[in-house]
Amino acid sequence: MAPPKKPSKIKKDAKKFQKGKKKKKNKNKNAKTVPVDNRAVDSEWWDVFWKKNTPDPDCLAVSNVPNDEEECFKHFFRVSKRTFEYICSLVREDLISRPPSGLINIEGRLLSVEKQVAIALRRLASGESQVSVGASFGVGQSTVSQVTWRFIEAMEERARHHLKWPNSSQMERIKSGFEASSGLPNCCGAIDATHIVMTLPAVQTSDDWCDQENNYSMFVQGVVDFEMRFLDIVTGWPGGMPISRLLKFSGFYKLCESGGRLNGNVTMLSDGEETREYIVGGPSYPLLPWLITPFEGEELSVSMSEFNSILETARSASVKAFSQLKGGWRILNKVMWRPDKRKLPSIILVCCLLHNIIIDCGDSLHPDVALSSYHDSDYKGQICKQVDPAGRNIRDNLAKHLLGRKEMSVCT
Amino acid sequence: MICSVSTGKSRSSWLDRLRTAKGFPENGVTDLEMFLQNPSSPIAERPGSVANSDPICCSTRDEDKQFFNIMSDVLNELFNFGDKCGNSTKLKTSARKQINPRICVFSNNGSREINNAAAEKPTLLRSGDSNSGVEGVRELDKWENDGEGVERDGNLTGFSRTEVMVIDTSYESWKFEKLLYRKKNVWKVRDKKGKSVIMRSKKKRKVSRSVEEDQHGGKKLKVDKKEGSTEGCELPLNEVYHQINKSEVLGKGSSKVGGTLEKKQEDLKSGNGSSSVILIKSIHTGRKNGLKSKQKKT
Repeated sequence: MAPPKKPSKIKKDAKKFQKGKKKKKNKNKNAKTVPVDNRAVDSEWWDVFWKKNTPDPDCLAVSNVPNDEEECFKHFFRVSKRTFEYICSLVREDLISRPPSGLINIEGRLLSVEKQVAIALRRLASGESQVSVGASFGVGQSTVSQVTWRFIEAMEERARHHLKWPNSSQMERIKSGFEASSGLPNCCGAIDATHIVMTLPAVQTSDDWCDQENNYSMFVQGVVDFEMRFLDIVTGWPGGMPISRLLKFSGFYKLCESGGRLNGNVTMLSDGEETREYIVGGPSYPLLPWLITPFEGEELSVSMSEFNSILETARSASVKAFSQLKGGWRILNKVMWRPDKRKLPSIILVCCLLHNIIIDCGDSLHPDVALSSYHDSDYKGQICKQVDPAGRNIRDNLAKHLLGRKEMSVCT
Repeated sequence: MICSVSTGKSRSSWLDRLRTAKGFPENGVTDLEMFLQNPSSPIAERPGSVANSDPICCSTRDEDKQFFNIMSDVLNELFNFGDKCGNSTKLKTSARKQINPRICVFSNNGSREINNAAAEKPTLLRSGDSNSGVEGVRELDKWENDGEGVERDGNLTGFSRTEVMVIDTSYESWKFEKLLYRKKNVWKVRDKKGKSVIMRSKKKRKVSRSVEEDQHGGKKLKVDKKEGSTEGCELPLNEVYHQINKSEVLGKGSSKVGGTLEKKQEDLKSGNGSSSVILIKSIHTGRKNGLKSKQKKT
């Protein structure tokens, strides 16, 4: 339930906009002869924003805002100016403000695509309230709300190609990447999940969103490659669900079970055994022929412990990816105040898309941006005891293979 | 329902008009309560004249009393009043509309439902049990196939229901709505059946692209028809497999209106299906539909 004051506020804002629009209409009548080129790239917004949001030089030492312009841009929007331009080009058609219906700011000027993208990125990156984000740009709260949602909708449509399951040649690259980083042969990805915490009204309908830590939360599960790029995500399911069930409700599980995914080349291990394609996951996931999890138990053999540490290295890609996702797009790490549960999955998805765009554009997040702690630190780890015999075989073979390789390297 | 029970409180103009029509003086007795209680009233002497007022008329004669009892019983059954009105005062003071309207369910249908529920019980129990989250993967697979769309909502008693918007990039259409049922640690998922879904299914099948989208929106019946057509070839093999699987399950469960109708037609054509089975299935398909048809009949 929205707070009682909110709708009236929005109405007021809407009225303000309508008034503005009327004014604009009148202005347009006069300016009909000189059409405004909305496609022109607006760079003025940044100068204004930078001046407004950079603290005094004396306070720079205290503030964490970088002095360098490019760094400062990245600090606020997580992306470089070049990547920002690319994002603008993706959504330009959807966000372009056309005079009769275009979004305007307080001064009654049409919002440029760049400014809209900047507002949306700032909202997602900082997780600050719409009011404070609006204040930093000189727009109202409802403008921030509208602009952010328009941006999210546009990105959902226009940036889909940044989150795709890889084709066979891309998969070969991923496999070699994992083998190089961890030593695991034929590994195609790492899976993990995290909770997006929110507040909900204390009504009975909210109970299903209550998780084991008594938070209201939504799950996001992702499969990532060795570069921490999301290859597949599923979100929207309540955070109280066991992770094994989250996996089973996912399309990824169904595809893998039916042989539609992870069905590429097998690899011959050192002892002559073949290993199919698989991904790695933590102990909260079931052990399956295509999903390898660590050995569990108190007394583990040397090869088992060795295997676990290698697996953990490969799996760390997904853990780091989620730390970067939640650190880079802080809206996901803050407790969201009564979000629309139908819209929240789209917000999560767009953050994942932005995460991938940064990697695809050769950009990188500032090291300090990622969460310093575990991405789901408020949650106790679950241990799934489901073990598929075929999965166990593959894991044993892999463990043997890795141990044999280690022994060989020691001998040489 | 057309018939209305006249109450003591009503003094609206229709009553005046009725009086005039029946030849009663307009300026006679204005208080209906007094009017009805007055044995010398001309209306009491004309038993067949105003049917509605008959049961209310509290006559001292046995015939009238019997007639009144029969009528009140009939009215009770028709309107589902809480308990039988033994005396006239209860009826007189009762509101014109029911305070807590209840659905009028005929005993025949009720027994059918119970029978059918009993017949389905073993499967449903199995599927529910296998969803506890601690059993082996194979069992869960079975549940995944059985659980979706087979069971009727009636078997989800005690489950809380949540509508969820899911984004899953494994599917061609990323976004879809699901109904999630939860009872403690048992989670069940259903496709969301909306009005638009039925509306669209009524329309003749549209372009192929919509098929896989409908897959998530819960419009599986479309897939039945498309199965094996060029449609499926556009999708990755696994997705087609998944669709077929689901559509088969839905065909069995007949939880969709359209699906049931299609199946019904097929059965009729082939002559295999016995009509009684079809009837039972069609009763099941969504309570709302069943009710609507009943209301239309009445």
